[in-house]
Amino acid sequence: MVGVKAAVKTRIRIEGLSYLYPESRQTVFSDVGFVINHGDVISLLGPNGTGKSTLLKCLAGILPVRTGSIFLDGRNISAMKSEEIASKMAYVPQTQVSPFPYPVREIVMMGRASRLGLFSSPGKEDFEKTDAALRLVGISALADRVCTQISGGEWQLVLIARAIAQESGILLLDEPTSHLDLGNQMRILETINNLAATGFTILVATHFPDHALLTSNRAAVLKEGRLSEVTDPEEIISERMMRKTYGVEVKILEHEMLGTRKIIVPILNKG
Amino acid sequence: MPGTEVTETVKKQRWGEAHYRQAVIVLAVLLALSVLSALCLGRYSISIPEILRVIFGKFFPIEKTWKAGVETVIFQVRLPRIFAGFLVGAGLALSGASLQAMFRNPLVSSQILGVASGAGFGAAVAILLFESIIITQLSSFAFGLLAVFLTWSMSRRRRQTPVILLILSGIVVGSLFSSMTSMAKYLADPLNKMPAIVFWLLGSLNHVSVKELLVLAPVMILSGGILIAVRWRINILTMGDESAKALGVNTEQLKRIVIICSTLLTASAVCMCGIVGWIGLVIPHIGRLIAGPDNKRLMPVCVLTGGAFMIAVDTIARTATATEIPLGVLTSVIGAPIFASLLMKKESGW
Amino acid sequence: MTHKRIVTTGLLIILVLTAAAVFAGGAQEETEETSIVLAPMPETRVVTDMRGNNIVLPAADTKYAVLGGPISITPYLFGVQDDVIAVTKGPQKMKMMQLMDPSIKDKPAPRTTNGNVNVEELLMADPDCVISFEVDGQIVEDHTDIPVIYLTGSMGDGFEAMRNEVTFFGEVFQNPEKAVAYHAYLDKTLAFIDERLKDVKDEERASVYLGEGLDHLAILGGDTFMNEWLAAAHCTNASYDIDTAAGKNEGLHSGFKEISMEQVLEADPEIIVINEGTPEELTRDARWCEIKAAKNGRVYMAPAGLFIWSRPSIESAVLYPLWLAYYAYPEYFEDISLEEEYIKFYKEMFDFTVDEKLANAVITGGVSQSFTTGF
Repeated sequence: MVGVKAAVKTRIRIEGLSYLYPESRQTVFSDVGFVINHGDVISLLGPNGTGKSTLLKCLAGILPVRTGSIFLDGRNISAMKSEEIASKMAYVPQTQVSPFPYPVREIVMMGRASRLGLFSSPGKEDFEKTDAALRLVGISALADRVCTQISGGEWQLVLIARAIAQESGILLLDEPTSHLDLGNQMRILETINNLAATGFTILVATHFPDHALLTSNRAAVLKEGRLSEVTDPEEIISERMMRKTYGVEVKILEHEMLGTRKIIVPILNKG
Repeated sequence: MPGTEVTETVKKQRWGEAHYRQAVIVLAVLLALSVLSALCLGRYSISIPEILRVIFGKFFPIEKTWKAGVETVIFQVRLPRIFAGFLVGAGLALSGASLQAMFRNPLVSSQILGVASGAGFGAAVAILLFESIIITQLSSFAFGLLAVFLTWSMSRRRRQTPVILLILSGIVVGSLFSSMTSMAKYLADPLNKMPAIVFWLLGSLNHVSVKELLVLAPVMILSGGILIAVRWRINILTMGDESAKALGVNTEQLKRIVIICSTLLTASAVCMCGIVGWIGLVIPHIGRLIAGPDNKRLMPVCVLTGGAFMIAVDTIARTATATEIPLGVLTSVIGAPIFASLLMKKESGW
Repeated sequence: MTHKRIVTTGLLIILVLTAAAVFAGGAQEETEETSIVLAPMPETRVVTDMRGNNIVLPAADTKYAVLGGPISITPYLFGVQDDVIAVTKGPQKMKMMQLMDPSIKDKPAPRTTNGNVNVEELLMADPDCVISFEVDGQIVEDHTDIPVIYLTGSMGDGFEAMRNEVTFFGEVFQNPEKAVAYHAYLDKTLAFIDERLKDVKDEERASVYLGEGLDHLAILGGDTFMNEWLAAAHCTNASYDIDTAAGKNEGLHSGFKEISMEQVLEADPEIIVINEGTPEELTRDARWCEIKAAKNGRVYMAPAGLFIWSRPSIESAVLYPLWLAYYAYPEYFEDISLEEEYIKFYKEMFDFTVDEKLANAVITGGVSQSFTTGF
């Protein structure tokens, strides 16, 4: 994607971040450091279980940071309250289970929590912002559907709408396309691109390198506890990287029909 | 986008704004009816005009054409019982609804953290060692709070209280106090104390007095008020600790509020009328059928429904037969079948 | 759908049964048993119990186990207390019983309340027979070979049943003359009260309310023995129109049921007798203060002696009507000292010397107050 060269504003700066599992003291990742600038769409790649989710949760302030620092607009998030963090940064989990049959609109409205006080209930403005978020993601028709009766793909869109209702500028998406069929996957990717176009800063954890090529202006690989350089996806994603990271043989191709876009074609070993 | 289906519009109608307003009005009317009938029904026969005159006479100077006993019945017996019934029903329902949201589980009742078992033990010990109603109530209240504190402490992990640990600790603490209550019953003298303990545990609003209400009512109203004030935020707890935190909710603070308020409500209720089951479980379910799971609407509905239900049940308990029927028995006999039919009707969701 | 139907029907049945149980209360079942009459061996005798069973006992030095509250007093009437080798816990803990018979403290007490019998402790005591009512007797019969002498009776029985029971015990304890002596004493006392109160018209009879428990709302209804005890004192039962004898509520002794404060206010009794708390507390309570008895200061602590008197016992049958008549109609008994009457009773019936202080404690409920825990 096109990056804005002039007046680049750093939104998030991560320095020397390490995380260990609290029980086993096993290292998930160590010494991770990079910056996220305003307008970036960064794909975080890596095989299952490397800690992409954990990294996102640390950024969102859900998991406590013991080694290293995370700065949000210049302030250390350990010194910030949940409401403050949430007003600037929205985290979209991989899945969400609701034990109660809330209508979709109520789920999306929960995104307004960081804008409301402890004893407040949503008002007219919050209703309007919620409707706007539904419109932006294209699911206004789902608003009155009961959330226990929607599909996985619809859930992902609802969760993204909820994140948008938070009115934060930054989105952290945790593998938003993992359980979806091709149609829904494309829908999500289109939404990401639309959101980026309207000025959102986005960090996506994904294990589809193709998607990185479709959406992001920067990418990185998290493998064996270390994070690679965060740079142009076309630089990071190479046949060698794919072999080392995922242990698969691929061919990265260009086709005149696709313009400048590259695609990754896995090569299956036949018999 | 998936098209609109019949279920969609049906749900929309059931939980629409207009429908909710209608439901609230109907419930308020039912509450008023149950209060009025409780006021007029009783073993001491008072005609309705007489009741009106007595109440009028409290505020305006009119000629006293009734016996002194009538005033006592209305102001010292019926009105306190009605008010207490309302507080107990509404309080237990509110407590149940909040805990169900916090634990993300609609099968949770107000007793999951061990309040009732602790309060029961407190009463048993006080009856065993002393002979004062006041001490019994203080003790039951204190031990109810202690039980929850133990549950809370046992489930703390690095300044977090995971919900699953709260449930397990609640079970442990609840069992502990229940068995200690059994021990107290065993040690008690079989002629006076043991029956007193068992009877206290069964549940009855028979001994509610104005003095008791003056102390417990403010506690219950304040705790219930706080829960109602944070009711929208409690919705977010149903999304799980991580999502709620990510959305900007201070989950530890909110959980603390829910636990403290629901404990105060339940402990006060047990203090006033012994252990009454099913209210905290069934009323929120009925409320969800009427108003949906959004606590913004559910909690006021719980207050109205729980209050009306408890007053009605207490009226039956004291008028159906010549002698008092224990409340716990009635709420089970009425509540369990209702719950069973709810279980059987529901195809999806709660 | 059929599965749902089965479940619904099952639940409905359970609901109906529970409702029936709650409202109807349970009536005790009576079973009749007969056994073959054996020709008694020389050193034995045969006793026919109240169910019609024949029990073979040693002709002399029979060892008895007495399981039951009020009946624990009866052996002392017949002087056979040393032959009672297993007792009941409640009576064992009564202060006055311990004064009369200090050795009772050391005896095994296998029975706590109705239906709670520690069979092993009973077996260790090794009695020749067990004297008890149905529930306890059934437990002994089911788990041991010890013959059971069954008593029949309930809280609904009055003076007639009491006399029969005493006669029966006279046979069992081989002292029928003492039974006759007791009858005479009882008749004499009741006749004495009747004589003194013959001028009290029926409509002038004092209404008496007995409320047990901390909130004073557990009552004995019109179909219980207490009705006769009250009538013997020329009083009426304020709870006359309520039946409480049948069925048993958990937490209350059989024969008691709880009523609402309204019912007490409606009855507006002239005399109130309570067994917990104090009369001062009650007269100050906002719910009770308007009642006639509270306004006139006629609230009394329930008297109690060797056992509590809210049960049909040989003690309460004689002393309770006397106590109540004395307090209900003091003007007719000004020349009588209740303490002395009591001292006479205990001496003649139990050969138990009671001093005036103890007699006074019995009258004012002081004896039961010292009875706190069961261990």
